[in-house]
This record gives sequence, C-alpha cells and structure tokens, in this order.
Amino acid sequence: MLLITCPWCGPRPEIEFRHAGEAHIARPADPAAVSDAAWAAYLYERSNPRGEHAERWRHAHGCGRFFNARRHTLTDRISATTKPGETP
Amino acid sequence: MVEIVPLPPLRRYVLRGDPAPLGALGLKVPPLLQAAAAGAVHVLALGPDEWWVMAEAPPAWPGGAWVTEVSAGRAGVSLAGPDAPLLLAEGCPLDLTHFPAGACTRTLFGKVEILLWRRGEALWHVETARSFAPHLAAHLAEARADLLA
Repeated sequence: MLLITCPWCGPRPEIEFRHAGEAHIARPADPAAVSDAAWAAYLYERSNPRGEHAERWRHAHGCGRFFNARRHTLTDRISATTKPGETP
Repeated sequence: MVEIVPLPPLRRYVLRGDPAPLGALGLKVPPLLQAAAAGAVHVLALGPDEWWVMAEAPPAWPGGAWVTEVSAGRAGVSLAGPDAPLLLAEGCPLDLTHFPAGACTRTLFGKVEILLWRRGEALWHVETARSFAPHLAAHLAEARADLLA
C-alpha cells in the first residue's frame, strides 16, 4: 500500500486521498484584461512532465484539507508534501 | 471476542474555524486526531479547523457560537472487545496498532467513509452517514462471523 504523508495527519493510506491537479496555477488577477489565448492557457494547459511534478492533493477521507505534493510521475514516489503556502 | 452494538441516539455538532465555544462548554481543545471530554460531552478534533462535539443531551452552547447540528444524518455502531482492531482490519486501511485510546479520525471502511474513535482500550465508536449505516453494520457483522468461524 502506498502511504502519503498528509502535512496535518501524517502518513496515511493512499485511498484516503484524491488527486487535485497541478499545483501553483495562479488565476490572472484581472481576467477581463487577459486575451482569449492566455485565458485558455490558464484553464487548460498543464505541464504534464515526465519526472518531478508539483501537484495538489486532498485528504478527502481524513482531515479534508488540500495540500501540495511533489511526485515523480514515472516512479510515483512522493518526495515532499507541504501545507498550502509553504515551500518544501 | 468483540460485540457489535448499535450506537445510542447522540447529538452531534460540527464546529469550524474558531474553537472558542468549546471553552464555554468546559472542554479543552484537543490536539488534532484526538478526543477530549468534559463530563458527558466529548469533542473530537477531526481536522486542523474542525471539531465535532458529541453528547447524549444538547450542550449549553454560548450565545454567538456558530455550530451545525448533524445528529440526524449520522448512525453507526460500537465495537466492544479486545478483538475490535482485528475486526476493523477487515475494511480499514489504517495501522490500528498505532491508534491509542482517545484517538479519532475520519477514514474508510471498505468503500464507506467512517468516523473512527477509540473511546477506550476495548471500546470503539464507528459511525458514518445514515444512508451508509445498514451497509456498514452488515459488513461488520459478516466480518465478525468470519472472525469467529
């Protein structure tokens, strides 16, 4: 069983968690001033790397909190998990 | 040896954000994933900003406290006996050897999200959303039959 370390609850089984997409995608401060192409990029374009990937996860069947994780997309190894706003 | 007993009717309240109203009930704010009690009123810290208060009678909330009552939406069972961790291992992925008396958490049992609370060395409180409760009770009863077989 894969264990994921929730920054609040500690190591917990993988099935308690939900993946929530790529992390650190900032919403444009003034959406009305953004071009259609830039807005589409914000909405849909993701880095999809082969290697280390910064992701958001949610401890859905636990404390319910979102946090950031750094996961290797090839090995599935999670090297760090941090509370939102913290840097690993 | 483990017995499955339906939970008595309980009042349950969810408090989010500021734990100050707990003090007015005489409750200490427990560390995350632990429970505290004042008389017959219990508080469970299920998240960094989420506390569940459980009691058989409605506690005297102070004026201005914002709480949500969820009593009617929840149901479950008590597990009494030293083999309760063995029974829970049937569907719960947590390592219950590191789950001391007084610990509580949300987790899963099979496909069902449960609230798991170890009230004493050999007394466990397992509850879930009311609509899942018959399934949970049946799953536990079947697991118990397998355990005793």
